[in-house]
Amino acid sequence: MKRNIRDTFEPLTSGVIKNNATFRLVLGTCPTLAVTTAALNGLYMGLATTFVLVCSNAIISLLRKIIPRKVRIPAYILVIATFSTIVEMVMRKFLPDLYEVMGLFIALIVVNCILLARAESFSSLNPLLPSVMDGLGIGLGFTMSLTLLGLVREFFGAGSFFGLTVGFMQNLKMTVFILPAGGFMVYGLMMVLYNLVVGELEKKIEAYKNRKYIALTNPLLAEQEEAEQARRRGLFGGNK
Amino acid sequence: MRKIKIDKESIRLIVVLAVIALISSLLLAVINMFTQVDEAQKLRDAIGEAYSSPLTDRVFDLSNYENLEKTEVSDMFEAEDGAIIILSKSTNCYNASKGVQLLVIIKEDKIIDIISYAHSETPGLGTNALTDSYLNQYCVYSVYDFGYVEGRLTDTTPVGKSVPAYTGATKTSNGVKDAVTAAARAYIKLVKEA
Repeated sequence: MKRNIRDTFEPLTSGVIKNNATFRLVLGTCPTLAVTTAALNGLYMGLATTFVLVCSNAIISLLRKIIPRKVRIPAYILVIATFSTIVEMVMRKFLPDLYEVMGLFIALIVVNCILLARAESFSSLNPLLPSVMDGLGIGLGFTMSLTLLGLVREFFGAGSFFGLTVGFMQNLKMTVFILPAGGFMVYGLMMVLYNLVVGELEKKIEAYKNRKYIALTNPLLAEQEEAEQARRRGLFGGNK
Repeated sequence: MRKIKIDKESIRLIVVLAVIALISSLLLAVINMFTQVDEAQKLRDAIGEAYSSPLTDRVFDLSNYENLEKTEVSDMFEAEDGAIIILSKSTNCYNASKGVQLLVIIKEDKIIDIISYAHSETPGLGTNALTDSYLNQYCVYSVYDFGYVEGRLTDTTPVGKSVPAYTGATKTSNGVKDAVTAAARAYIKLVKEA
């Protein structure tokens, strides 16, 4: 039972960090570059995509045994288009200012490859709850990435932070950051940084897990490894 | 005559897709009932926020009005204090499909206020030419200060004066100038000459 719960929630965490749609899977690049001229735009675009992702994943998962394999892609597109239209309608009514800024990209959520990729590779093969968790995880990861990108581009390009003017940046701001070229530049640099940091963290977690496994299966070997590590620590400590 | 055979599998594919499409349509129709935007009311609300005097019921017939090139005057209202409020759009900007839409308020032949109503220009770039401080530079002009050739815009620089384009937002600045020129022309044609 415990394992089942872990399996259910695993897609949530892996979607945010390990399978981050923007920096790891490099999916949905078009809206990523187009709307991240401001942090708030990125945040709202990410949240809109998350809503569509969660809902479409849920419906596709529920219909996975009904939808024939031959027409699965048009069926997925129909489901995704329905939810992206709902988001567009709601945003137009209740958030008109935001709709003015990114109306076109909301409609284009339907062709965002993240949605079709998750429908095809995950929700069409898995039950409801893991599919919802996958949608939520990937969506939150996408939101986080878009907000971060928007934050950097807005700060250096427009001299503001979440729409609030930053005084000292007014003479230092560089318009290129909010232009497409700047978008590619920031995207590339952030991708490098993300993979360096997350890659290093993953290595450490893997090493920790290996040590724990050895300690459980072979206590003698674990003791020897510990002694070796203590010796190394002593060596490096001495150098300091 | 050759008989067309339709196998069960094909029918199943069609039925499944049709049912999904039908349910989607129903869901969207229901949501549309609650989220439908009344554009006319939205425009009147925006005018109410921008100008304190209430609007009269005067209707301007714009159906036969010929717009200048790349511009469109879509709505005109009269306020109780005699001011004319014009919704003017120019597609001479970065996002031509949406255009730059301005509410130009004219009273006694003078432009007294300009408000950005709708646009899709890049934040921090094109939007610099749509700020109140930039738009208010036009508020010193009379409607007769704008130059144009009938049917198309040529040189829209106000006679004897000019509003410089915003550096980095030249195209949007030109769009603003065209929209204001179109509003001034509409005022002359439909209010003064009518």
